[in-house]
Amino acid sequence: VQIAAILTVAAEESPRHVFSMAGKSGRESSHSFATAEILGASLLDRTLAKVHELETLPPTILSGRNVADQVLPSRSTRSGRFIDSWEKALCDYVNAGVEMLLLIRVGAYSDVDYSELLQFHAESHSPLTQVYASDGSLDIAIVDATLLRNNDDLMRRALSNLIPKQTRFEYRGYVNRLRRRHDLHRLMQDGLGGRCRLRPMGVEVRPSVWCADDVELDPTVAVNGAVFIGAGSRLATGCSITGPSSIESQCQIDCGTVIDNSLVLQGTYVGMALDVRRSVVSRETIFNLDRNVEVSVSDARLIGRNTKPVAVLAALTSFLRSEEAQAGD
Amino acid sequence: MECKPAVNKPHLYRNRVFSHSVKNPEEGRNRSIMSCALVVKVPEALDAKNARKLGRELKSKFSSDSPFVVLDFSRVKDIDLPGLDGLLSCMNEVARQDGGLQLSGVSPEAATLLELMRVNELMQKFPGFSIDAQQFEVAPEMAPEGVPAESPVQMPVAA
Repeated sequence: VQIAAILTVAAEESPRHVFSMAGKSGRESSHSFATAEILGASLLDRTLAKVHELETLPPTILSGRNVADQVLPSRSTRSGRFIDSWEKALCDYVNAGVEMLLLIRVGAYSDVDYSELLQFHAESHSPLTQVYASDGSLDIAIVDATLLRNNDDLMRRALSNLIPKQTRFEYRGYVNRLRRRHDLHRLMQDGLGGRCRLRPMGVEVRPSVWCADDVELDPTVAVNGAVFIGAGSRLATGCSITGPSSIESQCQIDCGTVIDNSLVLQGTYVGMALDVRRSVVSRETIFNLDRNVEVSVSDARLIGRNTKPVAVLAALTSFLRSEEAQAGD
Repeated sequence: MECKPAVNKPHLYRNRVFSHSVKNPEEGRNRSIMSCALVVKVPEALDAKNARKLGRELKSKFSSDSPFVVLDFSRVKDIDLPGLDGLLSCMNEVARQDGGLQLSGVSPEAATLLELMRVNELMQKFPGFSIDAQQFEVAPEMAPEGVPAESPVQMPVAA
């Protein structure tokens, strides 16, 4: 059976803001965390890796600011750059003879086993199978693409016609909706604690401590509890990391700083002698989980972008990739 | 001791009179204290410029008779390193004169930044004065002339 996959991702407000959020009051925008690294890989990368295991045709990734709220656009969805690209990708796969189409809206994290889902779909002989958790759809669907052949109408309308005939795949495993930064932090905790299948992308150098490639750890750095340190990150003299904590790739933690039960997102510089506790730190902001407040840090000597040459290169690569992904938008 | 009335400066520095007697339960006797605390409303951004102003104002208003300062952080949303430096200088000055320093009404943003910069730890070590209505008895007769006596105000203190 020939399988293809289309992944849709809500784009960031700006490619320079990996973690830009609206408002400082703790209110969350309808922002996607799909490209934010957690324990060494983003949700998008992890989803792609799962799709690759199914030996599908090369998947299509569509990114845009006007990504539909649901995995299956409604029949009344108006044409636009995103929806037109989505229609075209669907048509191309159907015309190429694909028999099963896996549609994923990358937003929530779950441990859904795609091969189990495919098997369920094949056995149910349903035209459309959608995955549901106890609190709603997980935005994962499989469509019998043969039913879309010789279709003269818009694909979204043809798909809408299949919705009443859909079969529900009831999933009762781990789900994290990733709607708020608290969820991002919880996913990091659950991954380190082994409560979900989100594994740290590194080598377990000692029990519950994972390091990715090219990590520079000063011998004086104290590490306690479950900790992940991402590729190319550098921890200077006298730092203390207490788990569960994660320092994602290309970060720099300067001398004497304490990171406790926190998530430091990729490419972040954290200045000297600081105390980061129960927070999610990005290149420009610190979000305190207990106070539910985000603070923009204007002084780059405290928190800022890691300007280490390796980090700049990594940021450039990430920017080019996001441009590439948006080219189809 | 002289306590001047409120001065309507950009930073809204205010003198507030606390006239009270403190009951010391350990000694079992009343000890009268007359103190004058300088309440400083810190602007939204505690940066180099505002830190300099803060230092200047404190120097001019600060009295060795009553080196008690309350920094009102309710409006503060941003603190940078020069701002922190200014705050530390202020703490240093108060400590030198054996005074007391408190932060009041700290906004969540300021609390996050102060914690990040470990100022909260410093404040805990600082021998601040306690403004707790339950520990005070108002003694209006102790109020200085020309200044209306005020009840001690219980202020939220967060360090």
